[in-house]
Amino acid sequence: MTRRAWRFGRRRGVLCLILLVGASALLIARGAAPTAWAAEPTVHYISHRFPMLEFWVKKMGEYPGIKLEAELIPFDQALEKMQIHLSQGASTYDIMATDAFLPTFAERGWLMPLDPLIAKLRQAVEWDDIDPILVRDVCSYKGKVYGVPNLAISMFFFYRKDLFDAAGLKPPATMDEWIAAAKALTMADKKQYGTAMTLKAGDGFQNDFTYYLRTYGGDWYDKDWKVTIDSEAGVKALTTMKELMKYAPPNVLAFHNDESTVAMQQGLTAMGLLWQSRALAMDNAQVSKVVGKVSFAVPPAATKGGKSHARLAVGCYSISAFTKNDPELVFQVIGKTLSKANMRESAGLATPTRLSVTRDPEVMQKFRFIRAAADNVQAGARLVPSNPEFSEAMLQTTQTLQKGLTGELAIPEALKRAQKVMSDLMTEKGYYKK
Amino acid sequence: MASRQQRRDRLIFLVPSMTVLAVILVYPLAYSLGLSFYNYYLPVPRTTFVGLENFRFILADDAFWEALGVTARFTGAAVAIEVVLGIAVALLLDARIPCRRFVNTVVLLPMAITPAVAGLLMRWMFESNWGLVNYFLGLAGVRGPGWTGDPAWALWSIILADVWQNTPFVILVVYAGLQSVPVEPLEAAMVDGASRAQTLAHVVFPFLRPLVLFVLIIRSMDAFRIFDQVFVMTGGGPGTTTQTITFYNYVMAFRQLRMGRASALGVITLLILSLVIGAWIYLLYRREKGEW
Repeated sequence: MTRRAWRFGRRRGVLCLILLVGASALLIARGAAPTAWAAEPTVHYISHRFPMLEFWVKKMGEYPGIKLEAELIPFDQALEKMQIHLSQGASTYDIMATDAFLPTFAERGWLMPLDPLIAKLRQAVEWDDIDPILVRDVCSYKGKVYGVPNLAISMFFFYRKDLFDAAGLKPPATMDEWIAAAKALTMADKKQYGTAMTLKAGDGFQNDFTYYLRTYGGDWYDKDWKVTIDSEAGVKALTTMKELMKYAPPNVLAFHNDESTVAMQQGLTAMGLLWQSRALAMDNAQVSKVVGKVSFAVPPAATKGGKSHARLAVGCYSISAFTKNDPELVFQVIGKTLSKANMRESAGLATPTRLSVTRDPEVMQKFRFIRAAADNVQAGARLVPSNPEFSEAMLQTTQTLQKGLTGELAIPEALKRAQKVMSDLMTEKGYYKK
Repeated sequence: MASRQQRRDRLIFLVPSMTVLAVILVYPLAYSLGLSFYNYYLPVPRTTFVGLENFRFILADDAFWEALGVTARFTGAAVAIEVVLGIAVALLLDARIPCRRFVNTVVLLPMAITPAVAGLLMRWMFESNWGLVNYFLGLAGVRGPGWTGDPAWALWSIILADVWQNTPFVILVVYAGLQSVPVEPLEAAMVDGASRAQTLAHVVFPFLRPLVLFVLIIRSMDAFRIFDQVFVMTGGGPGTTTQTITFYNYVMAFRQLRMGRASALGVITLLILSLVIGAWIYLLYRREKGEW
């Protein structure tokens, strides 16, 4: 190689190196500031996964001029990811389904108050059509609005009408009737169990337990926020759950909502307390073996003529306080997604939150379980307590309560320990004077 | 004897690896140790020094002792089964069975799967209503249990999943050891009329002992830190029957967001694990101290 060729080769090498470094810097800069470079802003979304939220995400993706990146993952994982990112002030997510933990997040300053946006965009998103009671009671905290209600659902009683008719049974009106019907319809050798239950520790267990506890006249707290689950109602609740477990599939303690739904769809169980959002899936021939065979009713009361207090849930879409996108744009994405037309289209998946849709007789007639949902609310379906500590203590509390069902602890002891877990947290958070 | 220049060169060569070790090992450990003395609750930016309070809280916490018990039961059962089964299969492979290469490959396959995926696979296999395990039990006329949802069986389902995935590691190590046993002592044993069992006990196993110790230490450490399968298969339930120390640590850090306490638990776990490994080495080499 001549000296000149060597020099030329070296220059070419240096040039290549400069180009490589330049290209890398460009890529890094682009990654660090996507909004500055991208032709359209990317809106990041996170929530748990079930049909109603999947529908909203599909509609959100159709919003013009944005790129939507959505994460739909199991409930506990979604909560975990949100907590970790928000606690670090990260702008990872713009839109989040906050639901029962809205007060917790709002208290920690992780959510953007929506009142200024509502004032500015009231007409554009037809805000006044959104049920004001849901906004006030569920999607607000300390007088400020932190979410837009996207759905209302309650848990009600699903039962196999064909099996009930064949056995000469009626939907149970009391807990004792439920136990008797479950016993009568359990044929384990034929892989048919009396009842589905959702008993996986965490929010799944909490949903079921709350229904039994309140229906027996108890609750999580009294009016002074004193924890009250270690009570006669608590004992009755766990005792009934333990009795019903005898007629449930063998691994019911690992059942979350998906497992309970599949158990009903596959004909494994004859009845159960399930979320309204799962009703439409019973008649989906692609995934269900029981199309047209499942009917719906208000869940049993403790005694004849008594009240029944299943869970009521209202979903809220909130905007992260750390969003780097234009809040007006993000709010409009939410508002337009929850439009009248979209809500009418999705009415079978959950009770709509727009007044004009819930009052539409055509919608009520089209989806047969909306009547059961309305009756359920009339019968006494209620929201979970709204204090931030409620969702914080849930996993530990329900793990302890579950031990009362597994026999690891006697029922009164499980209640006593679960009460202590919650009380300790309430004390730590300054609810009680020492 | 190395000159000063040589010693200096050696130190220079050590610098890159020591730097990497310091960054990926020493710094996180020191940071975690530091955090364990603080009340660090993730949603609240302000941290306060609390001394040994986090350690006191954990040692007084029933959940910690329960998790430790679950971890000990899991580690004991899983490692014992894996070692016994692994040695047995390795001996079988060493005995020149037909299709040895094929069997070798198949036996090692589970090792190639990541633990989380293996856990997912096992979760469906142990699913009580539609799973493969209960299906085969049903064919044999046995009604399978609820596995992951049954407090009596949940831990066993994780133990079996771990055995399925990690026995191949024991097989691999022991089989390699068997290949390196010299022929002369085996021939001498044969000439002396030793039975097969006597040859195994008095000739083969002494050669394998360092390898078995190595396997016991590695598997005990891994089993003690089990997380993936628990997370995927049972989520620590039902109740807390499968809540191991690392899973409890995860719950404390990422669900309760108590980073100070979680760090303290991490430090305690490290101390326990060091004691366990130390005990293994002492017990297995008490007659031959100084060998290491």
